[in-house]
Amino acid sequence: MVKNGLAVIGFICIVLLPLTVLSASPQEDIQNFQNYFLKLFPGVEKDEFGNGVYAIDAVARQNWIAIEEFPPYEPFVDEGKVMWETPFANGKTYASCFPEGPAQRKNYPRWDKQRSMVVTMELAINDCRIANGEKPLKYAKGQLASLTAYMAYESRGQIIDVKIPLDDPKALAAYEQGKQFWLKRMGQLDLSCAHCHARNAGRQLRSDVLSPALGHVTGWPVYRSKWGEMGTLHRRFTGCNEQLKARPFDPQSEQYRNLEYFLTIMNNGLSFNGPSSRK
Amino acid sequence: MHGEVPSFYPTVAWLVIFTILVGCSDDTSNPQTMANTPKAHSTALKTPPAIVDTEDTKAAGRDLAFDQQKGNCLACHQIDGGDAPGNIAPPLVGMKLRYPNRAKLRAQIWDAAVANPETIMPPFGRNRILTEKEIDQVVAFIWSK
Repeated sequence: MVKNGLAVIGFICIVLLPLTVLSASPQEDIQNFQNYFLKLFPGVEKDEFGNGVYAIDAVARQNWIAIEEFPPYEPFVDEGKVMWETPFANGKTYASCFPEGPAQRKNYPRWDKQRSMVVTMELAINDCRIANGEKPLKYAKGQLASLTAYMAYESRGQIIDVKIPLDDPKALAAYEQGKQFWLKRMGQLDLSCAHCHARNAGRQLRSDVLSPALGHVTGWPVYRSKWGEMGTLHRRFTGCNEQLKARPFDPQSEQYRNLEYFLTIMNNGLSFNGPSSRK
Repeated sequence: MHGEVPSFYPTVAWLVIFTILVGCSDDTSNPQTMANTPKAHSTALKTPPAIVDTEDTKAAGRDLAFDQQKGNCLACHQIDGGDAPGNIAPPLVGMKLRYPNRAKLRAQIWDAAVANPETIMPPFGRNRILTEKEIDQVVAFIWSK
């Protein structure tokens, strides 16, 4: 019994502590978060986690590599390129909002001090459209996913380095809200993101291997075979909440933007590698 | 006083018969045998007489346990007869040994967080994922494993 008790305490220390250090600084959170997965999957390079479950599931990886030979997201990248280059009714293009060009991934998500909110790339794109007299695009899928696929494609290899500005405590508060969302039990199933994608990453839910949370934000948008089309990160958040039998939030809601902010910070140092394909 | 002496003999006789029956037919008393044959034989002699699970009840419990929209026990637990089980939680075997008290098994399914606040097992009763009747059916099925 004593031995079992020690094993349980050891388990709690090793597995749960990194997830429950509530008073840790973001820098400590990043260390704890990334080290947890690097220890859980020894031999998997940090950047490799950007390939999701294919970084840890050798059989699924073979299928994925075969699929990537003719990437299912390619036509959507092409469509996005046309969107980027096609002028709005007023004659301007997206380049008027993003003078650096389409390779914007490294700039998002970011804290916007004036608006006092996390701004994602999807939100910035719709802001640009509205500023130019165009209707906003829907956030979960469709044209916006095509445009972000092109922008992500042009951004491949950029290193994630999302910052929390020290001169605005509200930025840290948004990060904390995202973190608490990630740790909070929700839905009829009473599970948190962390329960499946940290504590049980690599284990099988039925025949599906649970993907590690390290790498969850690098490769969006995703062509998901289950969807048969492209979808955004927030579309996936919606699906996750539904699987917990929880009422999902709207894509680009404050909850999901803060969650994206937290998760992307946890992935600082990895490369953006979207768009990608998943089963 | 004379009447009490003969009444002693039938009691002894019943005890002997009972012991023989238990020794011969109840596999759950032997962990070694249990491990080899998860489908235990009749346990009528050890279970309280009030609980008699019909085959229909256990079949209903199995359907609920395997249904992805209901119990979905297979998401995490291996169960004899269930396809593509997960490996997040322990295989459901030897349940009468692990839960000699059937009420504890029911309580675990109803809300596992009572015994372990860190559990990831969904609270099927507390959050009404299953009805009370459905939980009884699942308990009947799982306890037979």
